[in-house]
Amino acid sequence: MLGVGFGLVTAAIVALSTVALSLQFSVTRSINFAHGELMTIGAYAGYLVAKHTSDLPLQAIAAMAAGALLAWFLNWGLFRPFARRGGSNLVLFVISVAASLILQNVFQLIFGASYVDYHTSATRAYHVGPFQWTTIDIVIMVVAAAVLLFMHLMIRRTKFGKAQRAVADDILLARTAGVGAERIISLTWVLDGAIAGLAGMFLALQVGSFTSTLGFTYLLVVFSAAIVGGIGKMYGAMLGSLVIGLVMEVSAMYINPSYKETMAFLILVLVLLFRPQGIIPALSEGAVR
Amino acid sequence: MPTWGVSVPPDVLQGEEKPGAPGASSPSSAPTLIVENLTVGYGSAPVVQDVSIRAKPGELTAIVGPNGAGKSTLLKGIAGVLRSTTGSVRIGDDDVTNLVPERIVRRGLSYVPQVANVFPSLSVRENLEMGWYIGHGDGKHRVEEMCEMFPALRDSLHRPARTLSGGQRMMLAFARGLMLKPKVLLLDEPTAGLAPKIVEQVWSHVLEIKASGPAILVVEQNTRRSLRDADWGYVLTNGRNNLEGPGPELLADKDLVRLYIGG
Repeated sequence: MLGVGFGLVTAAIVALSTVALSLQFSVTRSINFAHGELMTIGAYAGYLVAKHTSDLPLQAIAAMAAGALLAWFLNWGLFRPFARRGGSNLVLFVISVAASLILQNVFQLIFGASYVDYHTSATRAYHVGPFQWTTIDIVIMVVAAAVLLFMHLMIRRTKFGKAQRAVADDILLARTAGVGAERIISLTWVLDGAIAGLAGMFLALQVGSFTSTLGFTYLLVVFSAAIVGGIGKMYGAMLGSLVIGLVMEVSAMYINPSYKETMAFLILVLVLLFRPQGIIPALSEGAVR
Repeated sequence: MPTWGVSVPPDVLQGEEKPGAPGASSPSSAPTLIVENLTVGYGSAPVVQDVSIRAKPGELTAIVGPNGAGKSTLLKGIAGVLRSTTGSVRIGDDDVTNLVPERIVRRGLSYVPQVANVFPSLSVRENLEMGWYIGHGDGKHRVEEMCEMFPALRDSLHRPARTLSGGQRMMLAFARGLMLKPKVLLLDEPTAGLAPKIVEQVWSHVLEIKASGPAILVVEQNTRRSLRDADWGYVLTNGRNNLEGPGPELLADKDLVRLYIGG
């Protein structure tokens, strides 16, 4: 049961990052391989602020702002210009791989190649039923749940959310209805970056120390969760994250924890073999769900 | 398949805020849509060359012609989906040539494409709301009016649009296009791929919409059907204007029918 408790925390972090990725993918239709760097920059931003203040909300705001800014820049400087010139999704994907590598090296240039320590004092342990969580664990889970609820309400209820889904469905039809699609896409990137940045900060707090490849090494876990849930489906992404998070942490109770991520990929392989459309196929056909 | 009862309250589209409300049609009224010498194409090859079209309020203007004549391309050029290289498009006195689609809709033009004319994952109500995206205030009263005009939509308001039948989809596409009370409505092959019985229902709706005021420009594969009801028809061949005239007169022209329409 301890493993399940840790699994829920991991699932919360994975879910934040995966839902952000899924939203961005379904609205823009381009796979962003530099998604991990949005997490990394969030972690570094939280780490920098933590040097001056132990105030967690301030660190979180910095992480979200840094992620949002980088995501906006990726769209403005890379994805949009190439898409306007008719770059195919494959071209955009390759460009995002390049961006990922460049950003990792830039981080290394600024922060060095060695691990930086990033801790919080909120480590008091609580026993909740069969689970054992620290304060930060609980904060992570509550914040993740709140963000996911916010995303759900935004997508379903607000004019912006409906416009996002309309753009995801058919960008040209959305434009003929008067939707400024480029603005919607730009804002979607900003939202994606803010949430991914927050996830990166949470991940860094969880592991305690990190390098410039923090997000990159986690990217495959996030992709696994997205694909297990059915790529581009928001609610699928939540479920996929839960599955991946639980499998990773529960397996770590029984086998060497360094195989955690391997377990995530094992699930990915199994899902691709038996349910390539994701575990909630009833809600297929693209679009934000 | 529910029956598409047509019941348009006479005032549905005659509201005060109607942009450029033309009122009841009078044959002599000035055209709302004026297309002059438009050239449109994909890449560098023009598909439509030097085409001029006029559409008057409260009238049905049909563009017919053989496959590949550039009918749909012309509509895309007018709606801003494709850029034109020469010529102009005006709505009344308003020059809208080569504005992007999201701007042209603000000038009072609605474009209903042939396929992909609804948002499949959005519910019917959300589709209608997207039709009101640039409208002021909430569009609830318009959703209600659309449900009166297309009664079958009312029972499906919460269903995703992808679950609708072909005829229902077209009704929804019409309703979405009418939400803002456009001055000009462009319909690209509204009856393509529909069963004959549904085709008649769609046409009766087109005529109802026409009676309510906007200038309708329709492109049709079904030449006879569209010319029969068209106040004015244009025959397009090889991307150029060929003939024009009142729909029924074009249909009476034996040579024309033999050459371009068949049978």
